[in-house]
Amino acid sequence: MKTKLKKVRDLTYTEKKALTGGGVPTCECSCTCGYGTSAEAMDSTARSVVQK
Amino acid sequence: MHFDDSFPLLRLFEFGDDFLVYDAKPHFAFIVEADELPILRAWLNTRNREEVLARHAGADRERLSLLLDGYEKMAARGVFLPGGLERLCSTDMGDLNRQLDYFFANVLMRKYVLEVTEDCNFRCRYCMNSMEENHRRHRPAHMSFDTARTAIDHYCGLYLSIYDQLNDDQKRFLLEEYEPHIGFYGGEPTLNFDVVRRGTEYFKTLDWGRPEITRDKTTVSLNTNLSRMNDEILNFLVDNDIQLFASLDGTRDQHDRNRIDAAGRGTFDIAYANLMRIRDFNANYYAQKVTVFAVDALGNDRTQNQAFLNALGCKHSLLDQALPDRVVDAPEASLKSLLENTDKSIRRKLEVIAAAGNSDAYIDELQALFSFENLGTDAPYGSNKTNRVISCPMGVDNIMIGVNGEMHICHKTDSSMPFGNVHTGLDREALIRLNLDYAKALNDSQCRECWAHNFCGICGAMRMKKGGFVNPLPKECDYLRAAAEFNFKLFIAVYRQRPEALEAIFRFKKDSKNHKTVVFADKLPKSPLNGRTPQTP
Repeated sequence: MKTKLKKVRDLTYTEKKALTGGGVPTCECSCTCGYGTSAEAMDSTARSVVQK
Repeated sequence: MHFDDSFPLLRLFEFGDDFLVYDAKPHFAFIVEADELPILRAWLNTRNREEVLARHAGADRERLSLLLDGYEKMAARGVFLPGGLERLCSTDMGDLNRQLDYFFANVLMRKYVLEVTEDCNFRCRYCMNSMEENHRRHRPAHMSFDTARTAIDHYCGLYLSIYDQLNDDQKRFLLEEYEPHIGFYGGEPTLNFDVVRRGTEYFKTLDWGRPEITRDKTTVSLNTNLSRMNDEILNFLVDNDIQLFASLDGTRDQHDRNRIDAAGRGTFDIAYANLMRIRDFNANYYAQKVTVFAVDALGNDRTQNQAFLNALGCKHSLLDQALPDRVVDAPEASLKSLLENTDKSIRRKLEVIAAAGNSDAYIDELQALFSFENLGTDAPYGSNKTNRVISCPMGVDNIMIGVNGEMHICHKTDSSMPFGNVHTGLDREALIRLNLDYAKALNDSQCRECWAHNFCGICGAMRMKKGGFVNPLPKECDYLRAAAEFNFKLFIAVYRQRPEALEAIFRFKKDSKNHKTVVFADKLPKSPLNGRTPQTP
């Protein structure tokens, strides 16, 4: 699995590079409909909590 | 949990008997064992190795040294930087111009929508165009065929500008997964059906000058309120294999709570009858190409409407209601409810996973974990000056063309910041200014000091108001942070108890058949893809 959480002793380190600075979009909205948005998806997480 | 006020972007979450530390600057998480936590806190407070060693004189010296080595290495790579960010998004004009050049040269456009009319025969109570003063209004303004044709030519040019850079394997991938596609939107697009029909024919018969881009490789979608259906429209839908997004909220009483016509009458009967007319006309088309979108409006019975949708026999999706001038409904009450129900909800989601025969049964439950796919877990690098793009690549990835040919970043905006017109071309200066204004909004202190900014789904389209960008209210941000914290707890629970479910979620997200993520041409593998989904950077 790509997301493999590590403990401090198991971490590796790279030379400094702009991993955080590359202007990579974080929004993954992929709706095709015109109604759904990523924010609404986030909201629905909590609303489903509320309702269940 | 947080460390102290010196580290607003550092968060601590329980991880069984241990803790997960999340640092927003490098967007990076790692595990500390419970007995290591006091050592980390001491080191963060003093940054003095000798002092920490002296204070923990009874501890295993070798282990202590290893830990301190680790903290120091992380710190050298920008983890544990105190304070908020100095800069979240670059506002340097050179950076913005380079970024835009890169996006134009590499982003595979995901969506191009033609708003063929601003007119609508419905006045749905939750529709932004009906209710919000500053949004574009319903009015009898239609797109001409000339504008539609010019827009389609514009789209084809944008598509080919990426396509022509690719090798044959990459081209095949693009045609299969990000095929040439236009969408018709409104208003109610069937009120300008002639342009929808002629525009589709023009798009489908266009000579792309690339023999492999044939009619069957192109797709068209249409949004409709299901108010108008006749033999001409039915034949058009089926003959052109139109992806139809049809609005129906649920049962009659639920649907008619909000979806009313201009005279204030409920619209369920006509909408449902027309949906059934499609089914009766061509059952295969209905099952394969029709998706019913139901808005889970405030006060609607979600369970009842979900059951209604499940019985329709076509694809369907229950979407949350967008809210005017806000992004969270009743933030204080929602926050309270969220906090009270967190444990119960996570337990329930784990039960759903446990009971599921396959991942299809729980994908919806875990969609909030999509955003964890890019969480860094090794080789960190952080900085006090980041260059985040808390949005899609605006003006490049998704374009809506207004009735007079104006270019907008999305069909969900209030249309107050156009950046060109298909008749006159891109207004690059306006697009740069739009990106600059957005970056300035996100460099507000509330965003720079927010540990959850990487999980903030409030995009440019949602923030756009009256020619500028507006951030959520502080109480809305409180709620959004709580939602991010909920998601972290869910992520940890699934990671520890159902790792196979987490893998399934990430696999689903990375499969472009399910989730059209932003893809960059220069990041596509040069060798055959063999069905693999390309990695985003």
